[in-house]
Amino acid sequence: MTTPPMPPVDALRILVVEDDANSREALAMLLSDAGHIVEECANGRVALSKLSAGDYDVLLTDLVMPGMSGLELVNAARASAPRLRCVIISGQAPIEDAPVLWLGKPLDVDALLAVLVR
Amino acid sequence: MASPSYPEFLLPAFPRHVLEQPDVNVAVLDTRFRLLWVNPAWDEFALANNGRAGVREYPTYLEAIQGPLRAHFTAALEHALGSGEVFEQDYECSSPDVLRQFHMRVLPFASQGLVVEHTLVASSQHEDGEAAIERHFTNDDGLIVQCSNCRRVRRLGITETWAWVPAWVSRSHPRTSHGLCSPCTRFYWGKGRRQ
Repeated sequence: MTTPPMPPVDALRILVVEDDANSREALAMLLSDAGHIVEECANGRVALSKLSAGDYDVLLTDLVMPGMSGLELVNAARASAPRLRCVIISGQAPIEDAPVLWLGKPLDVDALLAVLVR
Repeated sequence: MASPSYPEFLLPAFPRHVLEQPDVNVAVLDTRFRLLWVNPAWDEFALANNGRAGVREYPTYLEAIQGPLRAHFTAALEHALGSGEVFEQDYECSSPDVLRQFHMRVLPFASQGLVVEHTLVASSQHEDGEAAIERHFTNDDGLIVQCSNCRRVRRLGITETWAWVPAWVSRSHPRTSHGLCSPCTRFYWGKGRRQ
């Protein structure tokens, strides 16, 4: 029996919320390869359920999704976890004064990884 | 003004009447993608869609292509010319009233130029204009899924197909969810999708 490799000390527990399967799986794979612990889901409702049940460092979410938007998800998540780091990844122009870090699509991988190590 | 002469490098393989089919818009380009000749169908289509007819109206073929698509077609033409390979692509070119699907084919002629054909594959009139186009692309959640890289939008159906809708290339539809089409996922994320 082999023991799974231990994650690095600075690994973050990240929840990826994205309705597009291609983007979600590619992002999750990228973050896993970078040594982070990643969970993923396709909408805000499931995301809130996971957030209430788990202990996450970072929420990475799409903006436009079925049902709840990414911004609504961030607001709801912060109501119960004010210290949760939240990042919206969107092809839409940033919403002015949005209280969240905003990265554009197509995603700049280096920019994302730089944000995570801050 | 006299109409431009028919490019000699096309002869004898392509006599003029072969490229003067009424349902195919054809342009002949030189190696710098300047328009040497267009067929009557090309001019008729241009005039009917608020464009300009005649080879002297555009410095190059690429002038007629707006926004981010221009880089894509520049690369496609350069590749066809350099490699000698035929370039083919289906694309959407709809007006507010008519949904249209075209097939584009680029035939390279060694170091002399290119023949670019645009063949109308499907066309349907819609009384309610863009709303009808939206129905082809709006999913059950009311969203239009657009590739954030190549800007094509996903067409509803059994198989995964993506099409360019010109109106949504430079200006996203208000209910757009940005994702990645499979070709862009495979190309830009290297390892491909996790199984």
